[in-house]
Amino acid sequence: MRKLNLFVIALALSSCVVSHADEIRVYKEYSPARVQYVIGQHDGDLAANKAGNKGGFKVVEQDTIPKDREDRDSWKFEKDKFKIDPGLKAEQDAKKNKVAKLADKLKAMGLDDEDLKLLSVRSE
Amino acid sequence: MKKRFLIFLLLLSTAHPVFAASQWTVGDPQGTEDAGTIDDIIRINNTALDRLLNGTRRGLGVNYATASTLTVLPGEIAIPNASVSVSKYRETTTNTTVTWADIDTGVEATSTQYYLYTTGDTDITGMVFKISASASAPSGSTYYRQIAKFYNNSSGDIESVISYRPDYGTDYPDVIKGRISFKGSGTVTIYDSYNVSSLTDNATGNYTITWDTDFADGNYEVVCNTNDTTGDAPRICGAYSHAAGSVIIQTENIAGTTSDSDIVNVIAVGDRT
Repeated sequence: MRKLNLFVIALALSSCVVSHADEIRVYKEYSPARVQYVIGQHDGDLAANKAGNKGGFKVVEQDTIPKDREDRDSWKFEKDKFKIDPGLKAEQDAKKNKVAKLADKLKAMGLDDEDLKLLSVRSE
Repeated sequence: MKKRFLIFLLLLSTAHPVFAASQWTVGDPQGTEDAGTIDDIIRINNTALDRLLNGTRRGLGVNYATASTLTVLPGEIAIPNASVSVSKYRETTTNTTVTWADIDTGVEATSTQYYLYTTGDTDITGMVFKISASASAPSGSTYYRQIAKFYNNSSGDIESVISYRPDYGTDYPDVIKGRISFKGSGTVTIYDSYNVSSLTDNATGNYTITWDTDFADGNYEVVCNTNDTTGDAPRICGAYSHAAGSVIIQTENIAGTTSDSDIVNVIAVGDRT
């Protein structure tokens, strides 16, 4: 029975087609980290070269990537997991606060939300 | 002098006409032809016809039907052997469903590029189709022509069906050369694409598209639109950093802040290499 199982496994492996599969690559050396989705059997290295993605990368599964993109601009990839880079997060929060403060100042001067919208001063 | 003239007349009377090798002479063979030349005339005309007919294909467009089937539309095709010494003509007058039962050898494999052939080995007037992972020839066939290709993705679903037009490979300037539709919010998901090898998520609302077949240079046109699924938070979409093999797409809210979008659609038009 064991010999039969080994034979079946060998037979299955012999018919496997070697090809470039769909893959997700995380390029760790960017701030924030970049995630490249290689489509179908396209050459991931060639696509990375065209996209300008350099340095080391890790191939990951979809469920490794955070679904919540609230802090997307602060993602870093360490020890095969996504984490929030505190320094990047502080920068992003400072930017958001700056816009919010400007909106508050203008409202204090009598402008309302519609006015701010016309001036493109609105953060979501 | 008289002797030479007589020898000249004798040579003229025995000379055979010379036939051009690459022509179809309208009206040949005529009833007034010398009986000894009819075979040559027919052969020359048939050779010219062979050159015209051996590459014939009409119809036989291939469409995606389901995750595991294709539909081939009616049409006719000439299927020569490798040496083009014999050509089989086949016709189908109805739609044909192609399934994985039509694979040439082995079984369906995921994450694999496949090619669809029409074959003429079976002595019938109808069509026989074969799916093969070989880009050059289906296994076990002498008469075959490749009419389409498709990709069987990691889930075993057929996608990216390309049905070859008779002038496949022509770079029409007025045809869309690349497109992609994707979800940029939550879990980034590529809905559909053509001539795109990858999508890189760089940051909030910022993505790099790479083309499978490059454009001639960075001078091509990219149009994109974007929105969220509820339609109440419109987005702006722009393209920049055009390069022969890539372009960057950025989506922003109306305040001008980069922002993810539920739907991003991109098309590109221009000259390709």
